[in-house]
Amino acid sequence: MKNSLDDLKATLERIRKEKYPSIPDAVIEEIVSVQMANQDNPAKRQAETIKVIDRYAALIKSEESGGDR
Amino acid sequence: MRFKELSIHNFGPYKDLETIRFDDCDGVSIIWGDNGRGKTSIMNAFNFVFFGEVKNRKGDLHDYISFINEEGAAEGNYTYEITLTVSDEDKTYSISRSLELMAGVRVPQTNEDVYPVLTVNEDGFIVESGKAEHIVKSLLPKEVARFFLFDGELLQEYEELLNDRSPNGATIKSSIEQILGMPILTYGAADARKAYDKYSTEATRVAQNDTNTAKYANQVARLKAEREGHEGEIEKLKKERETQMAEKRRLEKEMQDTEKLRSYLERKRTIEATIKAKEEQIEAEQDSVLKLLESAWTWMIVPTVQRELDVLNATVTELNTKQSQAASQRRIVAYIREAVEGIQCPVCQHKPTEEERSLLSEKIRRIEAGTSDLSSEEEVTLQKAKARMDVLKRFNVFGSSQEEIRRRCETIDDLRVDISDLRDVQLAELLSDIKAISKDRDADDDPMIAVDLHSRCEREIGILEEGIRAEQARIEQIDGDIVKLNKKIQGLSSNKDVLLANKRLGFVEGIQSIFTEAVDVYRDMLRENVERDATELFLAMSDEADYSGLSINQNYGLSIMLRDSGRAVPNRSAGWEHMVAFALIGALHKNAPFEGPIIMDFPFSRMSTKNKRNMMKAVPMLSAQVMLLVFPGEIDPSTTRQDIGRSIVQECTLQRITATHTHIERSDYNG
Repeated sequence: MKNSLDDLKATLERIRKEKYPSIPDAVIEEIVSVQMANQDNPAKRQAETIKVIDRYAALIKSEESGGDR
Repeated sequence: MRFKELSIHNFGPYKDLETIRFDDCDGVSIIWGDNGRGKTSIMNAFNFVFFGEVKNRKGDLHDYISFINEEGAAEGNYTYEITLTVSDEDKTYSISRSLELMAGVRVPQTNEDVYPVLTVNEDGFIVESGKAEHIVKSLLPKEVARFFLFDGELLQEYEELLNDRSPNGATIKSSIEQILGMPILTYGAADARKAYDKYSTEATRVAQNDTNTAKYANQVARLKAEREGHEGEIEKLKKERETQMAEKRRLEKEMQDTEKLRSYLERKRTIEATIKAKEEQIEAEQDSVLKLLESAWTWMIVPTVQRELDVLNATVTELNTKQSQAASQRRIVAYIREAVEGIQCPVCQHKPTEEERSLLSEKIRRIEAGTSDLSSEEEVTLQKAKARMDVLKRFNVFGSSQEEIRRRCETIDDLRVDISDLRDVQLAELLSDIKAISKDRDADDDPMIAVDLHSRCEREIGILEEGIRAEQARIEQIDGDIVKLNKKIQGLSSNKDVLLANKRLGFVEGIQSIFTEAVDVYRDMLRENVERDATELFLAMSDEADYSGLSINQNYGLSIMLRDSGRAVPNRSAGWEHMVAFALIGALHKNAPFEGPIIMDFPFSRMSTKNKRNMMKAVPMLSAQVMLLVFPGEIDPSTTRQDIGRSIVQECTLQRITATHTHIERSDYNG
């Protein structure tokens, strides 16, 4: 009996790998976890999702500073 | 999620603390209970503990006080409690919801006098109320409850999935997508979009500060403002569409109620006519009895009359006998005299001699001496006795009427019982149903108005949906223009802040695109999987050789396909509808990202014995833990044990203690 998000995650990973390989798989996984954990609280769900994205976006530095992801 | 234990106290018919334990092994629990013993109360116990709701037969969800056990209430106990212990992943939760009295209330009169209280214990520790609600909602979201707490009486709603325009169908589709995990992608995409908007605003702001890109950044800002306007318009249109759909649902219910009301009124007329006919029949029977009773007083003198009749009868018999004997002797004498006085015997034609004539004469003399006819007094006595007997017999007829009077009285009693059943039970229930439907209606409501309004609603909804599509198309166009402008900005600017902002924007856009694209891909995959798994279940249950399988539509509605023509079966029966819904639920559970037990109340309505048996075989395939609430006769215990014995982990019986008190008795089942 199926008891996981495997198919859902596999779909996301397939699209990421094929079309958006520069996007780290970890950010997608974290967003999925946040969505699962906060299904009953839309405001918290959105806020936490944006926080995850912010965290990974902050790692993107300008080329001048040499800190590219 | 797995169930470990359910306990119920003072709720419904469960006066005492009653517990159902679930073993650690997978399988089917069967709860047997006659009508009225508490099967639906068990379903309501789950509804109460998960959602704080209790559903009565009228569909009210918060009529809490009606579920207080009668005997408990009589003893002064006006509270109840349901506790469900579950395991989920590596945690154990004990969820308790109790009904409490408001401060100052001793005896609750209305539902405002009581309120439900939730407590959750996680691995032995009580959690605070906010977290408690979150835990319960996460274990079983209300939107998907229908697939776990399965009410067989609501099966026909799944047929609405086949109707693209049905508002109920849209609600069920939303529930199906929720259980399949679609919200993770749809809300993931929506939330990533919000992040994109934020980064886009920042990128535009930064670009506006660069003279190389300011012109284009300002265009982007204008387009974004225009986009916001269109988004606002979409929200407005969606709200209006929701209003129209709610109105459409209300009108559909009103039309259904009108139809229902018509049939109720027709039935009321029939019952009243039947009552009237039976009352007239009672009157006729009573008249007959009265007529018979007019001579009822004669029963008092029946013994005396009978004695007198016996005496008279003896006298008449004696006198008649004497009279007939005398007549017989006279006939003999006449024959002999003819032989004596005539030439020959009239019987044997013998010519008597003188001696013989002398003997015969002597015989005549002896017979005449011994024969005496009735004297004149005896004649009179005989006539009088006969006349008197005739008179007395008229008084004796009442004896034969007794049986008829008794029979007619029994008929009157039976008719009165029939009238009481019709008036006090059937008519009373019907009037209550009529009142419930009529209470919100105007007496002058014209059903055709509802039909017209319904058509108008549908047209409005169509126009609004067209409007929403047009606005969405405009937004897509704007988004395309913004993307082009952003690319231009990236190409033109050498400002590091602009480049960084655009890089980050591109990153977030990538995340949003991944989720957005996954929605359609995953949805298509899910539909394929659901169709495949539902077909597998359906074919395991069906023995109709002409059915090749199931075909799924955009709403997850499943059609039965004919093998030869490849077309869908039109107007399928309620029984097949039931089987398709069963298959759908099993397929949804198989494809859902989370699993849980299924509780089924009245799962086999409208199924033939053969189909029930086939469906029963599929029950263990639906979920790891399945609980069936069935009445004896709904399924055959012996064939059930034969067919799925290995999967049955326990059987419980709802035992009647009194009409308002049930005990749950478990019998361990070893297959």
